[in-house]
Amino acid sequence: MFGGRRETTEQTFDGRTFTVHWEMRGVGQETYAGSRTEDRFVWISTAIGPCPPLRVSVRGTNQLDDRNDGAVAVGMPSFDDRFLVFCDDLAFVRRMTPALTAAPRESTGFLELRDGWITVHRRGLGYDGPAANYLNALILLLPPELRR
Amino acid sequence: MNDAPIIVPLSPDVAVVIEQDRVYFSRLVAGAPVDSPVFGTPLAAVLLVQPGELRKELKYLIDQRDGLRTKVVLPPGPAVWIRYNADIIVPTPDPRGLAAEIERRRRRVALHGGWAAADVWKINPTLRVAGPSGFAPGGAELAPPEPDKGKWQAMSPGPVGEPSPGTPPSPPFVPTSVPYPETLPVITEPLANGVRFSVSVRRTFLGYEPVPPGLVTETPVSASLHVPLAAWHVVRAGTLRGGLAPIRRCAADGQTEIRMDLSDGPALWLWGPLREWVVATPRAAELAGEIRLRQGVGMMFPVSSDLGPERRTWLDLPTTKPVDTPAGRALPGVPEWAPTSPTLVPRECWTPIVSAPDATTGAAPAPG
Repeated sequence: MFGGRRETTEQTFDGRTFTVHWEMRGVGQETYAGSRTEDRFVWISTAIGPCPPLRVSVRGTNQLDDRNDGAVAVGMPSFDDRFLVFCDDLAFVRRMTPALTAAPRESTGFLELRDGWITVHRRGLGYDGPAANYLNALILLLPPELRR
Repeated sequence: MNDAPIIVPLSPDVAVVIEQDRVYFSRLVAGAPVDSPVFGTPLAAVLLVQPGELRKELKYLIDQRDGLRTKVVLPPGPAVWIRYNADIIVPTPDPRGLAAEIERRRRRVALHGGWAAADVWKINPTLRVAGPSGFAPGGAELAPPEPDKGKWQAMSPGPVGEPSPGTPPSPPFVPTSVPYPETLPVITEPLANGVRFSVSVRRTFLGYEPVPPGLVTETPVSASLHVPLAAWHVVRAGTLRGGLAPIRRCAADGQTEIRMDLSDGPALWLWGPLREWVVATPRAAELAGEIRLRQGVGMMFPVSSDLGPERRTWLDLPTTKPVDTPAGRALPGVPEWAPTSPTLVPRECWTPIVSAPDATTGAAPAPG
């Protein structure tokens, strides 16, 4: 039962090797009967050049909360309303802005850069290929010192 | 006719303030209204304005919703009754004149709109009726025949004057070059009467305290009047004349009195949905440019918190929200209900300085 619940594999998309890690996690409420729904959480990552930690999250709709205060909002109209960039290095954020605001912006959420790895987090089945394709397209737009 | 705020004291420390498009209660300190975040009642939501006479003394409770939780005692005598879903009773020696003046402002709101007016008409469309000469205020039939409390004797209404004009619509303004916020210093301009006018990347300040430089989170000083830059629709330089008396305001701490000096000469006019400042300073035109530049910076690099100066303002006052145009993100145009000259000074005392490229939006050419 526990053997198949998490797995790390290496897959190649468009000539780049990606590490695909997925695990099943219980989501939602645990009910009286003990049953709960499970979902597949998947992280697709690949190696890039050395980079400071940067995390992109989706902005919640809570209008009375300033927990997002430390995040950097970049001045891109359809970007900073939906996503928040958490990063200490403002100059790095500004160099990343063209890449982060480029075409398929729906995919930008839950992106993380850290220790020379770029990772996208997805939930559910069937997103591995599209997420890897998104990263392949994104890496072309990164600052040159990060491209591998 | 001028749309200056009418401040009627109800007791030594409470006043009712009637502005161009809203009514609210305010604390008074030595006759100066205290700066407060209260929105008040939009004139668009007012059902009836009636002159009359209070026959008996009225104990009048001002609700927390109106910004204050106090009781005042209104003496018997002439008064104006303003009805929305509650009653506001304003004692005045000239009830016919005051009621006609409020009615005139209501007509202006029905014609051109006003703060929160669109929301009010969306909720209750009967509050505005289409007439032969454009829209007129409606809803008198929804009002009760007399106030909920108090012995009331109505008077016949006086003649209502012509509503003051609205601003012609202006296009959104796309700033050409927007520098990074940390490159902009805080500008401080000492005024003639000792008050400092300061402009940071996020706010304008009027007070005695120095404004510390800050980038991401900058707290406003409670001993100053302060308004987020995002809340200013009109930033315009002009010339004052006529030797006007200064306007007295009190900062939110309830202790610091701040006078807006209206001495003759160049002056800066700032108008937003809830606030209006007139700042007499020789550098008015230059400061207008600086403020306009910083408005663009705040629009492109807002504090990401929803409680920050920009986002909070955009959520509270939707007309201040930036608009996305094909040319890029733009500062919104001046709404139609903006006054054409400062309401704080008589119209004949103000001459705008027309800057060549952008006279309609009041935007001076941004430096740099």
